[in-house]
Order: sequence, then structure tokens, then C-alpha cells
Amino acid sequence: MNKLFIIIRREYLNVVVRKSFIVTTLLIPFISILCMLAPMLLMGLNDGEQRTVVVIDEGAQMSNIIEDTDEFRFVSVDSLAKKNPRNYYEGVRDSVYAIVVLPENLAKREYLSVFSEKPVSHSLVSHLEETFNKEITDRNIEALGIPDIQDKIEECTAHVSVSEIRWGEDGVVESSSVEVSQIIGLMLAMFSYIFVLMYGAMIMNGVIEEKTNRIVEVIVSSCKPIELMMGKIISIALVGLTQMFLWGVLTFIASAVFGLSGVLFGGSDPIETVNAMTAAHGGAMSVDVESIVREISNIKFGQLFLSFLFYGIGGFLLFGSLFAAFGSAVDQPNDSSQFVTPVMMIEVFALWAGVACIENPDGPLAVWCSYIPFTSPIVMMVRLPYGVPTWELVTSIALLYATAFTFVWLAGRIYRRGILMYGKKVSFMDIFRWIK
Amino acid sequence: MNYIEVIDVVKDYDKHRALDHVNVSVPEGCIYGLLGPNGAGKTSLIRIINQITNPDSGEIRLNGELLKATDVHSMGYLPEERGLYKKMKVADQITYLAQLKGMPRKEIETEMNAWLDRFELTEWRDKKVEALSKGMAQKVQFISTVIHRPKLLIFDEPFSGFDPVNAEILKREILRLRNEGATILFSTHNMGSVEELCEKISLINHSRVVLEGDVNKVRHQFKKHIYAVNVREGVVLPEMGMFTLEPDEVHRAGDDSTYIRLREGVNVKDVISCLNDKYELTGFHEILPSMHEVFIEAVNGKEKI
Repeated sequence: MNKLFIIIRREYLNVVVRKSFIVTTLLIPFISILCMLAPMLLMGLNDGEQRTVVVIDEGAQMSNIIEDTDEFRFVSVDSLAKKNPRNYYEGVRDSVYAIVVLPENLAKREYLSVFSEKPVSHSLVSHLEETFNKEITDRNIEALGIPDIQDKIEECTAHVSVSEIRWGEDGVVESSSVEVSQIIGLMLAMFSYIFVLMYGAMIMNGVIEEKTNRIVEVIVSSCKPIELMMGKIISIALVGLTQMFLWGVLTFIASAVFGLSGVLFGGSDPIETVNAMTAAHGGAMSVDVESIVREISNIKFGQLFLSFLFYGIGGFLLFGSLFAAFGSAVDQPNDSSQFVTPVMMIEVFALWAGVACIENPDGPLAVWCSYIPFTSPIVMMVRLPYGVPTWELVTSIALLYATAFTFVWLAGRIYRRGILMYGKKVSFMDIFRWIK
Repeated sequence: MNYIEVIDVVKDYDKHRALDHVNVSVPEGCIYGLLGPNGAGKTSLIRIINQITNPDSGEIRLNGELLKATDVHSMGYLPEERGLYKKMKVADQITYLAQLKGMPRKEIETEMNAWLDRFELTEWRDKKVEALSKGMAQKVQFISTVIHRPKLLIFDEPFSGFDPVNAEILKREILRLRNEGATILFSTHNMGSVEELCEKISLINHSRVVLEGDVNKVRHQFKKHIYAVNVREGVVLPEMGMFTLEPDEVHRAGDDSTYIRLREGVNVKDVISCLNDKYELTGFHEILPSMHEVFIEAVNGKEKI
């Protein structure tokens, strides 16, 4: 059996069967779903308590048009209260949330008042504004006396939507989708950032553990140090993919349990699901949402996914070999910070550059950082959904892999010296000397 | 026939030369001692034979052929600093290390069971290594070193950290493996074990081989012409022109021997007949220096130069 395979299998199983791995893998999806649900549940708590709002109509004749909501119940009171709302409030302050006074000339002045001792909820104010705007507008239009006026207005109303059109390389028109691209690009960039840091650190700790255990000398007397190092990098990458996959599946299950699956993942037909969702919101946004969904389907997901895979593997090789080399140079995890800090800074810079690129995906910062191998796995993810010329993509990936393999080779040289070096504080200068 | 031959090996680390044109030949089926003070270069040499590091120049021949990558399968190595994966079960650990030595899984199973049984570790098979005592962990390490029946066994300071009971088991197993045909190379400071086990040695000091050969020949080479004399009655007095007394030479409590040092060029036969004339001689034998003395003299002697 191939030694690399034997090593990968051991390293993989060693992590995957650990209790800590199983617990975090199982718990994190549920915890994150709960975190998402918590605000909703808290908002839901308010709904249970429908508050009473008293409406005093001073002659506007409109008190009956206000519809009750989940939050507020509107009650009209007789003229007795009209004289002095303040006195009236004194008597009912425990049961009444606010008092709305509709002045007689409301339709003309377009002005009404809400009285209360506490700050009034924004939703009450906007509900009142919506209701009376519509009512007064309708009445004004009605007053013009033109027959079928409502239908005519409907016909005349324009719904202009701006769609950005961009020419592709070969002149083919591609539709562009700015907001959606931003979100998808950022998500992928965050994903590769977290993946590299989290699992890169795992590689380093594995190397340090083997070194402090002193088992490493026995292992490298049976296989080449580079085999052990590559075995570690590959197996941790597989661990990462496994964990991400399980998180995906578990998040789906968990959200199904909490009845959220429709919101998070949609059905087989995204447009239908989104329409159903927007219908629930009164249909006002349906046009926008449909265009977003259309834009999503315009993004080349095949290309995006493949590039993500290529960049992910290349980036992980690059950073993973760095982490392995640094792990081999230290005796205990505490000593590793001098080496890890620069790597972290590069990663943070890459993420920052990625975020900055959203504003200007074809600017010099974005273009340069999507070529530099240390930043390209993150920055290119941000740029990709906007569309990147194929030659740029190929050049960037080629650069990344050339650098990654060079670093694997360099790391191998550092690693085989480092793992057998004990009791000496290793500096960057030592490491450079080992490469020779 | 030499099983392993180290030919003119040089190894440099940064500014320090760890091995300076080193030659070592280990005959097949021999227990060979690699001696030398700390930092002399023993571990560097052992790592080169194990192909953990490469020599800067020179070559290693195994059975007459240049060392190749698959040769690690016929070697077993127990390093001085040895450890195990703490979170792994004993059986998994042994299996993993044996697989890395290219041993098929079925063979591992039978061989491992036999070894665990021999070391009374069978009930610990499925326990994690962190649950073992130090002595038991050492036995597991030993099993991992020899399970794939290597033709060449390399032990770096095998007795360090072993209690006397385990050290005795280790000696017994080393001899047994040799009798089954293995060639054994070990480095040690423990000169007692050298005298007990080794047939040949090389002494490395300051990165060079300063002494090598059969243990007995080496001891003869360093002999100081000291003899132990036992007589029935009376006290042995120095004989001018023949020998002087060595009052400092005492080998064990209750020892009533008189130690004499022969002058240069004096014939042993003449000394015996001289003593025989004067005393009733009950014992007369040569005292060879222990490996311990040889070691110290060889190391210090070189330093003076």
C-alpha cells in the first residue's frame, strides 16, 4: 500500500474520530441556527401582546379606516374624550398604549398627532402614515370626478428597473448583478479565509504534537519527511471538507427541524419560492426579488465552483505547507506566534483587500491582489462573480500553483530539518539557512 | 561479509562538521557497538543509515549495494528520543508503524499478537497509549521496531530510560534477534552492555572514528600489563626490574589479589617462575581494561593531541 495513503488515512481518522471533532461538528450548525432564530423568537414575543391605541376623531370621519395589526388594536372613543385627551389618558394609562387624534381638517393639512408618555413604536407611526396617505390620495383622486380613474392610474404608473448590461469578451451580452455578486463573492472569500486559518492551524498543531511526542523520528525512518508532511496537509484538507460537508447537511436538517428550510435553501424552483415569500410580504417587492433571482441564475456557477475548488486547493497547499514548516521549527505551540503572525497578517490583508474590491472589482488593488498567490484565493473569489477574463483567471491560477509547489518544496526542506531539531529557539534566519 | 558499510561519510550542519570521513563496517549477524561521548556524531551517522538525512559525501552500502529507498523496510530503528501517539490504541499504533514498513496487514496481526503475548501486553491491546506506564510504552516501542522482522536493527541508546528489569528483557531480545539472523547496530554510553553484548565496536569522538575492532582486541590494545596475583601466605613485594605494585587497582570488595604491573619487555613466564619460587602461587591472571576504561582513555587521549 502506498505510504502516503497510509499516512493520510491515519491522520484523517485520528482527527475525525476524536470527541472534540464530533462534538463541534454536531453542535455548530444547531448553535448557528439558534443564533439566527433568537432575534426572530424575541420579536415574536412582542406579537403576543396586542396593545390598545385609542383613536379620537375630531371630525375627520376616518377613525374606522384604521385596520388592526398584530401589534395594535384601534379603538374609537366618543366625543367625551375630545375635550381633553390628557385627562382622558390619565384615566386609562394602564390599558392604553397611545392616543391618536385625527383633526377635523386632516385631509387638507395632512397632519395628525399621536400622544403617549412613552416613546411610540416606529411601526405604529408608519402604519398610520401608510393608512392615511392611501386614504387621502384615493379620496383626492376620487374628488376629481373622472370615471374609471383608478384603472387609468394603474395603466399610467411606470415601474422602471435599471439593468446593467455588460459585454463579455466575445461581445456576447451578459447581464450583470451587482448586489448578488457582492454577496456571493464575499461569502466565498470569507469561506476560504476561515478554511485556511482554521485548518492551517490544525496542520501546525499536528506537526508540533508529533514533534513533542518524539514519534516523528520513528515515522521518518519509515517514509520520507515530505510524504509525512504532504500526508498531513492532504488529510487535514479532507478533514476540513468533511466538516464543511457535515455542517452543510446538518444545517439543512437543523433548519428543517426549525421550519426554516424554505427560507434558507428554497425549493426546487427558486423563483416560485421567492414569490411565495414576497407574496407573504404583500407583494410589493416581487419585481425586485424576481430580478435578483434572475441575476443569480446569470452567474456562471460552474465556473465559480470550479475556480473556488482550484483556488481552495492551491491556497491550502500554499498556506498548509507554510504552517507545516513553521510547526516543525518550534517545540511547543506557544513559540509559534512569531511565525504565524506574519501569515495571519497576509490573510487579514487579503480579506481586507477582498472587501475593498467589492467597490471596484476591476481596480488596480483588485487586479494585483488577484494575481499575487498569497491573496488571490480570497480576492479572486470576490472578483469572480462580476466576471473575470479567462486569461486572467488562468494566469492567476498558474501563478498560484507554481508558488504553491515551490513552497511545498521549500517547506519540505525546512520540515525535515525542523522536526529533528529540539531545544533551540529557531529564528527566521535559521529557517532560511535550512532551505539551502 | 559486511552487511552494512559506511564509506568515507561526511556530514556538515551549518558551521559544524558532524561526521568527518567516517568508515564503519558491520559484519552480517554481528552485534555492533557505536560508542562515543555526547555530540560525537553517533546519532548523525545512525540517521544517515536510516535515510532520515543524507550524507554530504560518501556512501552507505547495504549487503554490498548502495542504499535505496525501499531498504527502510528491512531496517528497524529505535531512536534515543522515542515516543508514540498518545491518543492511539496500542494495536493501531503498532499496525500503523508496521504498515509504514511495508508489512502486509494479515502478517502484522499474527506477529503483533505473538509479541504482545511475549511482553504480557495482550490485555492492553485496545488501550490508548496514554494509559500505559513508561515501561509498557517502551515495550510497545520495541515491538514497533522489530515487528516487521528487519534484517538490520538500529538502536540509539536502547538502555536509556529502561529500568533494570526491562533492560534485561531488552538484552535477551536483542540476543535472540541476533541468533535469528539479524544484524544489530547500537549506540550507547552503557559500557557494561557493550562488554556483554557487542562483538565489535567503533568509537567516534569529535566526528571521527578513533578506535574500532573486536571488543577483545580493543581491550588488549589498551592493556597496561597488569596482572592479578594470589598467593597462599605472605605479601607479594615488588620485584625490581620485573614488576611494580598497583595498590589502586581494586576490582571488588573482599578481593585479596595483589595487582602488579610488568615492566616493559619483561616476559610473563619469567615473572611467573620468579613468583613461584618465592610464594605458593594460587592464582595469576591478566587484567584487561574494561570498556569503560578504554572509552575514557581513548576519548581523553585524543583530546590531548
